[in-house]
Amino acid sequence: MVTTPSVRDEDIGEKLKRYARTHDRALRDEIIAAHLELVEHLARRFMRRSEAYDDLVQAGSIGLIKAVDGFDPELGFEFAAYASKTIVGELKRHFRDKGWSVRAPRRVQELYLGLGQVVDELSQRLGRSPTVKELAAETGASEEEVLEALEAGHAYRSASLDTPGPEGEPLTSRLGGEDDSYAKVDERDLILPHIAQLPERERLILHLRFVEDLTQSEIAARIGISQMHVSRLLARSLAKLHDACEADAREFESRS
Amino acid sequence: MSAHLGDLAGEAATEGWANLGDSGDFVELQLPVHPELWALARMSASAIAARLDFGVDAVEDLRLAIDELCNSCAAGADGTSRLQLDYRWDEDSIHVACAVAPVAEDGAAEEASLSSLDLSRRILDALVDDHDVEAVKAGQRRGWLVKRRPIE
Repeated sequence: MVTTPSVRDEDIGEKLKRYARTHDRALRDEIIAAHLELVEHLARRFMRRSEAYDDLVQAGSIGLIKAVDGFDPELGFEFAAYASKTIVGELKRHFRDKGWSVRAPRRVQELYLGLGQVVDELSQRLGRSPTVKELAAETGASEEEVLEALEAGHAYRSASLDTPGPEGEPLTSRLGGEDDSYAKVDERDLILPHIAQLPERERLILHLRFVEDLTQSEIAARIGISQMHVSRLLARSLAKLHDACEADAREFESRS
Repeated sequence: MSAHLGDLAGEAATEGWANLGDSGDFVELQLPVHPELWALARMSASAIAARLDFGVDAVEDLRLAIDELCNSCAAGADGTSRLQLDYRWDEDSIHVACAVAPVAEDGAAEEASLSSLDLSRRILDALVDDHDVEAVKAGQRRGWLVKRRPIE
């Protein structure tokens, strides 16, 4: 683990707490800047021939931003450890996504990173979910670029079971083996134990979307994160649940 | 096989599609059954939703729903299978039909994919206004969804 000598831990801890309360953009930038060395360190571990170092740092930086936005200081975890896992997850995703020849270009990635705030600001100003046309007008991008940027936050369906969870371990290890209580669950409720394995915030988002029928913007306002972050977490949770169901199916087939 | 899939739009005489009639344009997209390519399916749907000035919340719902529809129809597909999507729309709604062939009709495989299909069904219940995924018939599985403009 690399340290970030320019910033003392207690300073970062305070800043993270303040950011969690205020969502102050300047503070967010400070926290990100203070951890870029961590991104560079981890990116070097993933260096491969023909892979541009800058691209890896770019991918890792997305992981860092996700970590800053998703970190809950009240849970008492060390931010650097949390961020390392998120950054590594994003680097792995970078390699996986390269399997598809049309990777989001840098301008789209940058637009994606800025779009979350624009969506939230416009939603507040308009009192409704903004259209793609309105987002394009606000950001100066074309509608096509906005659509590409929205898509850049998805693509979780191809996530494998080896994709690290928020605690860094593969989903497969968190699902564990068969036990008696699991075997007693009715077949149609096989999904429930998998939902129980999701992080608390993802469970909450699933509940708010699918049980309370809130929109993504309403969920974002309720739990204090951006609509785009809700969208990303929702897509990721659903992909994890499908992966888990498909793992069940493979096990079923191997037994029959 | 592609001719079989190509008849999809004409054959999709489901309740949801019947309401749309013959008016308006449509888009067809055919893909290998590779989940990483479903980005193309999502992009097509969201581009149509953007043309109709749907809000981002609805666009995001539709994007997730397309994943679920593709996932459901692809249950039992193999490496040679193709997935076809037909998109139609009017002023206030988007209709998407999906078909995948060949799909195994093996009972064990069907049973094994039940929980994933059930999950998709529950998710689609929340995301779209109407949907259905049919049982495998003649080596093909079809499904469809309708997303209407939300009332602001």
